[in-house]
Order: sequence, then structure tokens, then C-alpha cells
Amino acid sequence: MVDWRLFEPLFEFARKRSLWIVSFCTGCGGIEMPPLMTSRYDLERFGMMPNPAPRMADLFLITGYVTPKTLKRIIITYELQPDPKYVMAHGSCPLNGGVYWDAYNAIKHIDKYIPVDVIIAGCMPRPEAVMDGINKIMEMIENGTADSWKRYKENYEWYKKNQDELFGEGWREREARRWIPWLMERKKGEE
Amino acid sequence: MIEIALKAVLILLYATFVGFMFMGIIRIVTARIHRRVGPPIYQPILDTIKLLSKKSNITHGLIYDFGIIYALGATILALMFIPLGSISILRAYGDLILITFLLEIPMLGIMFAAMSSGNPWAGLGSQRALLTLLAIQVPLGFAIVALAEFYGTFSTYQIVMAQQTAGWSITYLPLLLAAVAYDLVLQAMFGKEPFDIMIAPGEISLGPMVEFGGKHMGILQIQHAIALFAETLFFSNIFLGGAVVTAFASPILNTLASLGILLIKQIAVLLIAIFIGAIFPRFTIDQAARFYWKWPTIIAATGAILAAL
Amino acid sequence: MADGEKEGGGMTMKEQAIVDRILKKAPYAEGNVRRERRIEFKVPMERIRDFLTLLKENGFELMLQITPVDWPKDEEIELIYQIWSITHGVHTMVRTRIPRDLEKAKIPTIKDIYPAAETYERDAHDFFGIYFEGNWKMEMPWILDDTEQDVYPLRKDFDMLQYVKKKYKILDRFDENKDNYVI
Repeated sequence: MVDWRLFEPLFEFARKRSLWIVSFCTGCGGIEMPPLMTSRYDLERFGMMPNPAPRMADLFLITGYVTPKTLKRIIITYELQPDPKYVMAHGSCPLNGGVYWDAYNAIKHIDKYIPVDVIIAGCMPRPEAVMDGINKIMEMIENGTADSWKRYKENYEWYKKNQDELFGEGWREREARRWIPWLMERKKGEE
Repeated sequence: MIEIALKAVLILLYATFVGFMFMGIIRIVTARIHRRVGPPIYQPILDTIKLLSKKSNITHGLIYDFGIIYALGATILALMFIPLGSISILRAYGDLILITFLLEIPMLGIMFAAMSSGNPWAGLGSQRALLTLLAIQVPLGFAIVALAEFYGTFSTYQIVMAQQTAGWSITYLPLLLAAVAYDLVLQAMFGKEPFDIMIAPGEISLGPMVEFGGKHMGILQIQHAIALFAETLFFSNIFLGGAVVTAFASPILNTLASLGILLIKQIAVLLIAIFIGAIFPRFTIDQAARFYWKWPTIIAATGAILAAL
Repeated sequence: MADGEKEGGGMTMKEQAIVDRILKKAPYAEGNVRRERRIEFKVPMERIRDFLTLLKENGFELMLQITPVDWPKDEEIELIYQIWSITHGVHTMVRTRIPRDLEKAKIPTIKDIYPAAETYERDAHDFFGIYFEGNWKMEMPWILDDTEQDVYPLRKDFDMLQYVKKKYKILDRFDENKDNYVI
């Protein structure tokens, strides 16, 4: 009936001016989120709002270093979001490991596991730098080059291979079942 | 027939547009209270367009989809019954109890859509929302009874006409008490602090809304906009006098003037709700229920007793 | 043994009194005063439970931390129990040494004396491999993931760079032909 592709400029304008952020701010950069959202460098005038439910959010901020434990949760949350979705990484730790380049517990190169649109350099980047990155992602949405979700869908085997190499096959079921024997034992009584 | 359909569509479009402006006013006034700049006023329209244009759609079955449509339908139907100047189409049949009932159904619709998704946060939020709904019934009932006792009729249209000659409802003491109680109930119906335990962001991940994404959330935003419009309109009609303007000669100018006066009254009600909401933190569900069954009930019951004398 | 005298020797009188009082009841231990509000004891491994019970009765209520220190040359791991006394306002360190070998690094638990020690013992077990007998939560998942469970990463003989290279397959700034790191 109606060809929705005619409305693409309107949709891209709406998408770029109302990005909702998943409130998943772990890692060192989580401390730079409150200055962005409060009065001084107000983020809400661009329409960005933190939203606790991943089903309604588009933008995923990976602020800082990522451990394998966190990465499992990030992958699960990322796959809960509906398309189109964008990922922005803060700091030098997602890029090549940062200060934790020789640590046994920090992911060195996060683009192997989750597709990333924009990386902001710094350790932690100041709010002005983050606003610069947000500007860039808004430009990319307008041009139509922010297609990390398409990359994830098309190259899913590659991402899955990397994730399985790191965690071992069947990591979702194992992670979901890990705590069950301990919870059951607690219910039967202490000691 | 065509005329009624045209009126219905016009009312619907007007209500949706003004409802979105109200949501934008809520966000920008809250931002200015926090000394921030805030989003532009048309921001909720952009939010809804973005949500409706999501490419993937996650659905959990029939009840999940149906509950949302049910909520939207009930709100639109409630809108048709409330007198809006001189162009409402079903106002002869709209009595107080029917409109109050229709304005509470959307919450039930969202509840069973949310619970059918199986998310534990949604179930928890639904329980709390139903408890809040239960808590607000008692002062609401007393306020409606006070109105009916005072004016002798349940019909909204006749109450509006009676206020044109006798002055606004809140100039009489029993109805002033009922209005105060109803205003406190409005805070819970809008879902604003201190009674937003059902849509508690960050605490239970937005409660019932946690599983809605994409098109479902877009329809819910439209429902929220129309519900805001309908609830403030109802309050302005029964307590603040409504607007029936007959000063001009042409009916179009009369309609526009009455719509304008109603808009000013609605924005006043909304601003009171925003100001209260910006200051207070959140009540827990037992504190909210205990609060509603104590002071607003006493105030509304006093109003009802005084109105009967 | 009147160690730890700084300017104004009277400043450490209270701590010295506490040390003397405890050492009178526990002759197997050694103790001294480091400075104002800091005292330390050294206890052999078998008597640690009696000593900590004694401390708890003498006003040392709060367990702050259990710190393991790895001495690879002595083949021992030193456990430091850090305890704060609210009534006296004094911090104390109780040191014991246990053998470093994975089968022999066992010590009885103190979680019935100080309940907070349960979590610190799990911490020491996950990172150093010390087994606390009697703590029923010893195998409960704590910080480390499944892949790192038996690796005990904070021991000094753990080859961090080889492990990272094996696990992540990217190690940007280490040149294998050199001894030091290339920036």
C-alpha cells in the first residue's frame, strides 16, 4: 500500500534525535555518565535518555574495560535489543586492551565479539569528547553508514566463532545453570 | 453519519497531537526545574516515530499483542464520551462512572499483555500496578459520590452546564475537598512521582513496560498521550468548569474558543502534577496504599458527607 | 620488647599494654607495636583459631581483610588477618605461614569466630589456592569465571603473558625476542 522507503529521511531524523541508551554502564567509564546527563553537559537536549529496558533502547555504551563475565551479559543484552541498534565504545580498553593489555581478565579487542560503530579515544574521555562521538554517530545515522547491526546479522558465524572460542561451546546454558545447585542447597537449609 | 465520523477523527487527531505536546511539556518543565536545557517540545513525536520504525518485532503471542490494542481502544472510547466544548459526539451518554471505568481499563490491558510475556520484572510490576489501582479506588469513589450528591446527577454534560451558571465546582467547599482528593489520585493515574511505583525506572526495569519494544511501545506512547489528554480534560470538565462558549456568532469560533479555554485549564492541571512530581521521591507500594487509604479518603469522605447535607 | 618508640614515647603506651596483655595469655605468639594504632602478631599455623578467639574476647571485633602474600623463595604463603578494634581504636595484623604446595595449603576456617571471614576465605581460595577446611561455601562461584577456576592467577609463578596470549591470541605490545615490553 504505502512504500515506507519514501519515509526513510524522516525515520533517520527521528532515529538520530531520539537515541535511547541502555543503562549498562560498567567499567571505569560509568563514572563519566552522570556528568553527561546532569545540568552541565546536558544530554537530554539531543533526545537521549537512559532506559533500563533493553527492549526499548537503541544505543549501547560500552564504557571502559570488559571482562569475560561482563562480555557474556553484554552479548545477551545486545541480542535482546530490536534492530536498528548502535554501539559506542569509550576509552582505549575496548580498542586494544588499554592499561590492561597484559591482564588475564580483560578483553583486548572487543570488535571481535560485538560490532562497534564509534570508538572514542581517551582514558576516560571527558564529556566534551563523548559529545563529539555522539555527534559522529548522529552523522553516521543520517548518512546511513551506521550499520553495525547489519554486520552482526550478516557475519554472525564469525562473531559466534570468536565468542565460542573464548567461552567454550554452549556457554549460554552453562552460564544460566551455574548458580542453580547452590541456590537449591541454600533452600534446603544452611550447612 | 459522515459528520459524526469526521468529528471523531478530528477529535482523535487533536487529542493525539495535544497529548504529545503535553508529554513534551512534562519533559521540558522537569528539565528546567533541574536547571538543564531539556529536549524540544516535539520530542515525544520523534520518539514514537523511532519506535514505530523499528525493523524487528518481538512478540510473545496473541494476548501480548491484543492487550495493547485493548488499552488503546479503551482510551479512545473514553475520549469520545468526555464533553469537549461542543463537538464531542457521545456526550449525552457519558456519565461519571462510565468515564472513570474506561480510564482505568488501559492499565488492565497493559497488565495482562505484560504478564503474558513471562518476564519476572513484568509480573512484579503488574502486581504493583494492580495494587496501586486498588489503592486509588476508595478516594476516587468518594469524590465521584460527592459530585453526584452535590449536583444531583451523574451525567458529565449536565455537570458542565450547571457550572456555567453556578460557577466553578471548586468554589464550593465539599467539592473543593473532592477536587483535592481527585488531584492526588491523578498523580497515580499519570504515573508520576511519588506514585510511579508501577513504572519505576531502574528499580524494576520499568515494570510492565520492560518487555515492550518497537511497535508495541510506539502504540503505548500514543495511548499515554491520549490518556494524558483525556484525564486532564475530565478533571477540567468536572471541577474547573469546562468551557461552553456562546459569545461568538459562528460555531467554529465558538469551538475554537472553548478548546482554547479547556487547553489552558488542562495545562494548569498538568503543571500542578509536574511540580509535585519533580520534588518527591518514590513511595513504596505499601506506603502508597497506606497513604491513599488514610488522608485522601478522609478528605474525600468529608466532602461527600458535606455535599449530602 | 618496647619497640616502635617515636617522639613522645608515651604515645604508644596503650598499644604496648594491649600487646603485653595478650602475650601473657598466649605464650606461643610474638607481638610488637609498629607505631601508634598499629600492632602486629605472629602465630604458628596450628594455634590460629585459639589466638583469634582470644583476640575477639579482648575487644577486637571487626575483621577487615584476609591478605595472602606469596613468598616463592621460602615456599610459603603468608596469611595476614587484619582486625580492627572498635573499643581500643587499634588495628592489628595477625600473621601465619602455611606451605605453598597446592595439596598442603590448608588451614582451618575462622568463620564461626568472625562471620565476615567467609567471603575473604573464598577470595583467597579463588586467587591463591588456599583451602579453608570447614567453610562449606568453598566451591561456590565467586569472582573468577569457569575457565579460570584452577589457574590461581595471583600466585607469583603464574605466567601471565603466556596465559593472555593463549586465551586472547592478541598481545599487541609484547615482543617475544626481548625481555622487556615494547610500547
